[in-house]
Amino acid sequence: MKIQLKIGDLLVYLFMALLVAGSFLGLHWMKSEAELSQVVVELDGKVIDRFIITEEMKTREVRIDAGEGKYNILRLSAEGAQIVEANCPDQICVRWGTIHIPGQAIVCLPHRVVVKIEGKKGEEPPVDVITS
Amino acid sequence: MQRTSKTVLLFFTLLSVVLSGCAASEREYSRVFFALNTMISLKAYGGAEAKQALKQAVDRVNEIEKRMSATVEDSDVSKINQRAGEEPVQVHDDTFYVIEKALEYGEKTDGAFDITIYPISQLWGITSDHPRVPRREEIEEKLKLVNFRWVLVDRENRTVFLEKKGMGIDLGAIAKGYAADEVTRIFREAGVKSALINMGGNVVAIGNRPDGNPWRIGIRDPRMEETEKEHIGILDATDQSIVSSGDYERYIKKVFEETGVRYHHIFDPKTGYPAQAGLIGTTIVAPRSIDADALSTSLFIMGAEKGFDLIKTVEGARGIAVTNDKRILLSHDFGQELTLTNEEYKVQS
Amino acid sequence: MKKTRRLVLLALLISQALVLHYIEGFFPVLAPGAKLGLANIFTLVTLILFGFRDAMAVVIIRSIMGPLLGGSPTAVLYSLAGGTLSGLVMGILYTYLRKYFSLIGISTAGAVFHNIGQLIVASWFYGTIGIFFTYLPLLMIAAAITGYFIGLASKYMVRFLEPLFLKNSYRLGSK
Repeated sequence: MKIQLKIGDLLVYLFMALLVAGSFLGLHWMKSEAELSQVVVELDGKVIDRFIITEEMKTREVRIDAGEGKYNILRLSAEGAQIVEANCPDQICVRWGTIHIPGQAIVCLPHRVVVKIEGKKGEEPPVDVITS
Repeated sequence: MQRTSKTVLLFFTLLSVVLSGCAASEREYSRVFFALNTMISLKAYGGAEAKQALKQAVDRVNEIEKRMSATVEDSDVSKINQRAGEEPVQVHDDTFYVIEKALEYGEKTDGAFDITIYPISQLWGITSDHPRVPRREEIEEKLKLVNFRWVLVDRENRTVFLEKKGMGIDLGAIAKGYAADEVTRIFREAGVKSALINMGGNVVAIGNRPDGNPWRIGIRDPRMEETEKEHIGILDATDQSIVSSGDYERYIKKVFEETGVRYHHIFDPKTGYPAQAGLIGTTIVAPRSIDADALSTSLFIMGAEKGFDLIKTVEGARGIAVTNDKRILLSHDFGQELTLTNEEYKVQS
Repeated sequence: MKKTRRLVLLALLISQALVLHYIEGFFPVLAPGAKLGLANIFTLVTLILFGFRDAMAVVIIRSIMGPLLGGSPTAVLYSLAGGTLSGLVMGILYTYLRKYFSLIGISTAGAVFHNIGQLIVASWFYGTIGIFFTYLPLLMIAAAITGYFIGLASKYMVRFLEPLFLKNSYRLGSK
């Protein structure tokens, strides 16, 4: 059965090529705009949220709900991620300070919450794990 | 054209069949949970056997915690501490094994590795909400209770007795290693060929990565927060345990911020103060995690020279020490396995 | 065509689409949350045999039921976005602009917009448009290939199903 190529088909392929070109431009623009790091929030080992921090961002705060009335307030800023308030008994997470290097993490044991920094997307990390 | 279309269609259909087989091959099973005072991440690769082994491993770690954690009220260790100076306590086989091993290390390190350090670490309160710098007299007082030779073990009855009232033991510097070895044993017995264990930084690399290459283990840069580099080197590891200790894990933040002095959690049993042997971080690579765990603490307290001598007596163990003047010392020639990544540190052998 | 008959035939097409949707879940993943979109073969087939409205119904129902039956509620958003966008584009191209596009062109356009829909959802989930830019080139190549495959498969399927579905006969045997 013959399937004949028509003019519209060429348009489709052209459109795709344009999108690809646009993506490369977009990525380039993003890279020069700011360095991105991902902030990953885990509850009981499962990822429940992700955020991006950049050098130009506006500081904002997010409430992490750990269930049963437990919460941690996460502050995201150009400096990194920090837990500014929490109703856990030991407050270790609040006193931890700000993290911004991939691999760093703030752990709230009583709430089983982990806030960690992950490297940029699409990059294969050079290491599988870091000792400490 | 008709034939070509049909062939193309057939090709793609067959390709789809092949691609859907991708799910049947190696899968990653992982669990992240909290135990032994830290975050534990277990990743096992394989099929149903990996899934099953993972569940067993989690149960075993929780069991170890119930028995050996000083913070669990009715654990073996807590019972031993409560009856100090009064009477021997019968414990489980595994607790007994770990205590014996710890006492062995006490001998080998001539007292540098001492599990009876508990009263001192309690005094400093490093792991509590209110860590503080105690007065010299307080430390001297508690130091009188620190001596691993006053831990009496009875093999026949499996009992442990602390001779003096007020003594206490803490298996923190060795329990994680034991737990990691147990997980390794469970994985291997189940036939898991590839796995990665991370217990709060205490790492075991089982087999190779699923793609066949060795696991890439980053050696933590002790000053990661200041230099912004995550690691000082990458180790290619197959069936090895890698454990790091250092003055960066737990220290009194307030005092550090105000004075720049680090009062960290690795106490020297001879002085009662945080160990100052010229090292800021140590890493041990060994086939068994219990050795790596104990040796990394020992090396930190003893310093590079004595520490490396000790390491050489443990089969398969190798050590990396980072000094406070930014030098990296190696106990053995690591060769190609270790790639150094941070130029701020100079290597010496 | 009698209403019942149409209902039954559409249900058949939806269930086939669901099967394909399930199977392609096992294929290696190219981008977070992204599927190849092979179930769109049936979107296209319905479009040709039954028309725009029914095609959209097939795609929407499949997009919602598929992930739910598979146990992944988040995937509903991905499937809906990819499926509806793809269905809309293919519908418009086929219904009004059939003159200018071959079946392959239409199916490829459908695959392209299926992936665009998925990437938009992924970017929203991850909070950054960077996801869109990073994975688009790879997904465009995939779209070109799957689009071709979908077009071919649809053409054959329509040829086979048309006499079965549209002839006024209850005998579904051949001849």
